[in-house]
Amino acid sequence: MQQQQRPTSSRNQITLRGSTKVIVEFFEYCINSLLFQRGLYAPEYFKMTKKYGLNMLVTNDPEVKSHMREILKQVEAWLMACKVEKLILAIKSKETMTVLERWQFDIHNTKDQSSTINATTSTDPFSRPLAGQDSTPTTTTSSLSSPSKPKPEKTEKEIQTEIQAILRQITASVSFLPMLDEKCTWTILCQTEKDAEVPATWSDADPHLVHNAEQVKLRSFSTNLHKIDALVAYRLNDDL
Amino acid sequence: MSSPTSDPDLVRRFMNRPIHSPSTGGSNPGGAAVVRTPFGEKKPSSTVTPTTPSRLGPGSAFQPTWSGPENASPAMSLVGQYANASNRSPAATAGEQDQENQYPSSRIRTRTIEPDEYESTRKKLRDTQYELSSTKTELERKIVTMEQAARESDILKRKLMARVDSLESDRRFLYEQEKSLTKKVQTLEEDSIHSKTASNEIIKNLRDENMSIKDRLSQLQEESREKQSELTQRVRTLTASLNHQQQTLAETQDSSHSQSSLVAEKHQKLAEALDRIMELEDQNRQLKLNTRGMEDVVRVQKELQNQVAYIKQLEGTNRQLTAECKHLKDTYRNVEVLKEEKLSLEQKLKLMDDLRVKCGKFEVQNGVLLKEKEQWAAFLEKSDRTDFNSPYELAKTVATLRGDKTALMEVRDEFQEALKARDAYIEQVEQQLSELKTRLVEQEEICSKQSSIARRHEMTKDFALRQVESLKEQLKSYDMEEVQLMGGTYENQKNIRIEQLEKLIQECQSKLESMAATANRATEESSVGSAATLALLQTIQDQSSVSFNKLSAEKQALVESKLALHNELELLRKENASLDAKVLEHEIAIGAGAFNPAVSRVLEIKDSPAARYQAIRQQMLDALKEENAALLQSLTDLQQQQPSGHIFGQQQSAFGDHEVALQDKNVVPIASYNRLLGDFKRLQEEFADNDKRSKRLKQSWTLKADEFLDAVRSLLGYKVNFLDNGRVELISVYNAEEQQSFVFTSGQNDEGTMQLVGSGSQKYMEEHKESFDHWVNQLGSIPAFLSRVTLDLVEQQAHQLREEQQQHDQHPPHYRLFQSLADDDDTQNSDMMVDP
Repeated sequence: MQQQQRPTSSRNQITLRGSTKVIVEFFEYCINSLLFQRGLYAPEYFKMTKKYGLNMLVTNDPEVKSHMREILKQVEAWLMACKVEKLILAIKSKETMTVLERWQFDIHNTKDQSSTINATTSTDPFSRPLAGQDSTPTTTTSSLSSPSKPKPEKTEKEIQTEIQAILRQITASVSFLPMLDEKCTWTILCQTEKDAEVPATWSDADPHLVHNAEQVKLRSFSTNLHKIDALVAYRLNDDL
Repeated sequence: MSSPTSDPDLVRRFMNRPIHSPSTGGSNPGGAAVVRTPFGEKKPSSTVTPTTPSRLGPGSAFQPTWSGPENASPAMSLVGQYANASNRSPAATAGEQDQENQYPSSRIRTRTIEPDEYESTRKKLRDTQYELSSTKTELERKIVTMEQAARESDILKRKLMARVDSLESDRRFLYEQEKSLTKKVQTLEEDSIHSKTASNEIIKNLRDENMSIKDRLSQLQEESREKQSELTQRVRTLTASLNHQQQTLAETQDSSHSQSSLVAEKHQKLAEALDRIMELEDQNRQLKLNTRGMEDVVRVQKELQNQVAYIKQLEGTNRQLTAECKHLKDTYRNVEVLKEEKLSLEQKLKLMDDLRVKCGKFEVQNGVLLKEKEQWAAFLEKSDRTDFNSPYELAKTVATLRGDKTALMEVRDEFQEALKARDAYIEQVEQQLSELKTRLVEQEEICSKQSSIARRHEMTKDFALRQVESLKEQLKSYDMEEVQLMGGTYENQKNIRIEQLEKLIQECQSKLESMAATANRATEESSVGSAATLALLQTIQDQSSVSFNKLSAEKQALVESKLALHNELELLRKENASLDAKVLEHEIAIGAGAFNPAVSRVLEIKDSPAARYQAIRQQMLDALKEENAALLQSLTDLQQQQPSGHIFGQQQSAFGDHEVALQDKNVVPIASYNRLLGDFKRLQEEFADNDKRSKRLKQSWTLKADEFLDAVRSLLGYKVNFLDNGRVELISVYNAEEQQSFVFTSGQNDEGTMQLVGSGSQKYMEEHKESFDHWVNQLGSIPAFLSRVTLDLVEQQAHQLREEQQQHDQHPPHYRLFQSLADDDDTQNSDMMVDP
């Protein structure tokens, strides 16, 4: 994606599509990593790949893979429509079906501030639908925003460094999270806006609240259009 | 075959057959094989066997042929031959026999050509004829003996037959007997079955009875236990009361003892007194009899009276004591009453305990409510009034405060508006002031201009006066000149001229005056204008002072409102703090997963792993429920089938017929089968999963093993192949040829020791025999040996390389081939470099 952009644009601009792609990729690796680290599947279900300058473990189970692909495809579609608010990975006990951990990724759309700059300066082919979509605010606000100093665009490398940091933190967070000593299963929830288009394979779900929760805010990363805040809420052991 | 011929071979065959193979089927290939093989040693009685194969002549054709080498054991090959023969088809063997039949005749035909041979054969024939006759006689003899033997055997047979008959009859008799016995047995068995069933029924009945009795027994035991406990309770209470009574009794006894002792004493005394009375009566009688003086009688009577009085006293004390006893009984009754009271009090105590428990509950509730209240009051600071009695009040005050706040806000807005209006007014006034100031300045400028003009006029006036003076002096001088020179010729003219000039002067003067007057007027006017402005200023000042007053008043009001607003601000801050707390709470809630359903929705893919697992569980649960329902149904059915009556009996029968019931096909419902099927499916899935996992593990293991082998190869220079039987083949990487390898096997019982058992090629082994002897046999180190070999090979290769290079200098094309080989080595070396 970025490689495609390079010839067309002198600066590495990440448009909505590019930003979405970055985020979806991050989710894929992040969820895989969490599935491995929280022991939801045996280690032999994973193989090691290099990503973001880290050794990431990605599942090689075709079933899990296809399931994840299906989810992320839909998430990508929602991200393109700017309808996603949160993506949540809930880890539940198989025995009691209580939620033990809840990894929440808040997706903030910072498009309104930055898209104007993008739309006016971008020559990228991918930004065209975006420019057409909000052409009216662009024309009106660009004149206002142009005199004000535009924020420096984040390079791909900076974003990658941030993602690396957040993934490292997730890896490190295993040390303070309580042990999952019962058999667990997982599910991915997507909090969207009310008017989002929902395919037949998706349905409204329980928000999977964590009772007696302790929470830890993790790092965040941002592209030029989105900001991702990570947070983990986990159930404290009652007997402790 | 049927009749003996002159052919010796045929004779031999005839002789051989009955002796060697009693079963002369002829078609049996096994039989044919037996004929061909010389098994003479097995039958030494045979007369033909002594004939040697050489005598038989064509018999050599029947000799077994050895296909194996000479040193092979004859037995083995014989067996093989035998097997060969047995494998042959019957048709083949028949053909052979035909050949055998034809063969000798052709031989005889050839032999008739030679007369010597004919003679010898004739001789032979004679010999054989003789032999034949002798054997014939012998045979006849044998036949006779055999016939005799046959006859004997016949007799024996007959005897045996007779015996058999007898035995048969015996057997028949026995069979009949057995039959009758079996019948009896059957009847007995039936009887026993009947009796068994009867006994079973009896047993069942007895069991039922037993059960019922047991139950009754247990019931009775329970009852007895209850009664016992009741009785013990009663006994306890009774013993307690008894004790009490005993105590009181002891007390009373003590008292009664003392009383009885007193009474006894009194009785004794009474008895004594009676005795004495008796004595006295006797004496009296005696005295009466004696009729002695009345004095004694009187004395006796007195004494008697005394005694009676004493007795009366005793009776009184006795009455007193009985009264006392009555009183004690009353007190005892009172004690009973007190006991009752005590019981009632105990009950009350129990009630009180209940109340206390309730009180505890209420305290807990109170604590919860207090907590709630604290939570309500959490948003309020200590200095705040926290004496709200109810959240309603709090809410009310909050509402009122909000109302106040809005009212104050309105007031503030009003004030602000007024302030704005004032500001506008002040601005207007200031503008007026500035306008006036500019006008003043203008006026002053005009004034100064006027004054300068007046000054100029004055100066011109002075100048004109001086001019008038000079002109007067000129006139005088002119007059003088005229007087002196002309002598008054132009007098008239001169006077006219003077008058004219004077007029002019006057005009000038008037003009000047008017000018001065105008100037004065102008100054006056200007002074009047300044006064006007002053007045205006004054008015403005007045106005401003008024407005200042107003403003100060307004300021006061504003200060007040500011204070009010400040208070409001404080209030708002508090509210803000409480809202912050709320925000924190909400943040935590959001972190825990709460969301606003009005704005957003939480979606989940339907086919998530968790949902899948849940579905499986639900399915299991449903299946179990169904099964449970079906089982319950069948249970109720079974219970209905049982004869309703005695409960215990029913239970017992249910228990007894358990095995029978299980055999009933209706007992296991279809639901449980379905459930088991589901379980089975699930387990199969699990199994498949496990299979997958183990496959993955195997894959990873093989990968790891390959890695390990690669590491071994690049580090130790040997490719390791694991052969069957736990053998290990080592191929040096410096060896181009595959067959040059060492094969090791683990030592006895897998102790971890290795032994060299061979190599790919003998030559290779011999090449390294010396070093093997040195390193392994003497020093006992296989690794050292392997290293030695590696070193040798590397050196060899280096040497070869050098040679090749030298050759390359002469023949360049050869280089390429070696280069590729060296390249291979390079890759290996690079592996070695990388892997660590």
